[in-house]
Amino acid sequence: MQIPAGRVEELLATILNDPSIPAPVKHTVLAGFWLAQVDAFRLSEEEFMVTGKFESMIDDHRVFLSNLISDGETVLDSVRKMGMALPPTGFTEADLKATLESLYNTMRRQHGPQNSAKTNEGILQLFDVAKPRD
Amino acid sequence: MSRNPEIESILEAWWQAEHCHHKDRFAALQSLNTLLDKIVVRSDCRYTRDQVLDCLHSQYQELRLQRRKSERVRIAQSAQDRPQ
Repeated sequence: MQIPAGRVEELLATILNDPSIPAPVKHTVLAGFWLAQVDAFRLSEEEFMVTGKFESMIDDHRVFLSNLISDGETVLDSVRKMGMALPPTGFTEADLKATLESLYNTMRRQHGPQNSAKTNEGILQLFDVAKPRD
Repeated sequence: MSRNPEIESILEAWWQAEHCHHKDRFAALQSLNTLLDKIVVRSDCRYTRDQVLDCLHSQYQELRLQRRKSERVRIAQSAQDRPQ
């Protein structure tokens, strides 16, 4: 089932603005929403790869990724300071941190400095590539 | 795509760290880091985890591309097989 993005944001705002809902519950909702955004981002990356549009979208990629990282840092900070209710899907603060780390990794891979050819050669030699499985 | 089993293990662990269930993300990242650390140690710490990932990045992107293509085919077939 597809839920329109505007409707999700409306529901999220309703929950976040309700003073009767405890902060840890709000943080769980925010964290779940952020994880879903990260999943959608990964899917979009792969769809752009399949359609051959990834390279032409690289500037937008950096903007989306930066925003996701910023949102993730905010969510994680709130969870660290005020806790999180146990989410129905069972993820923890450590899972949020690991997901954030995966985004930083993507940022470094796509938009950071890259290894020299000599470094890559040195690393590949460590894998003993002369002995393939087949 | 690499046919080196050690590289394939890292690529699979990397994919899992990004695509597994939310509650398994920490464990998946730890698994990936354990595999990367073996290479770092083997290099006498001449290289970092980050450099190993960078070295394998193009292979990882190829793996993601192939898996997404396969998923698209699976979804299309599943839609065709569904009774009208």
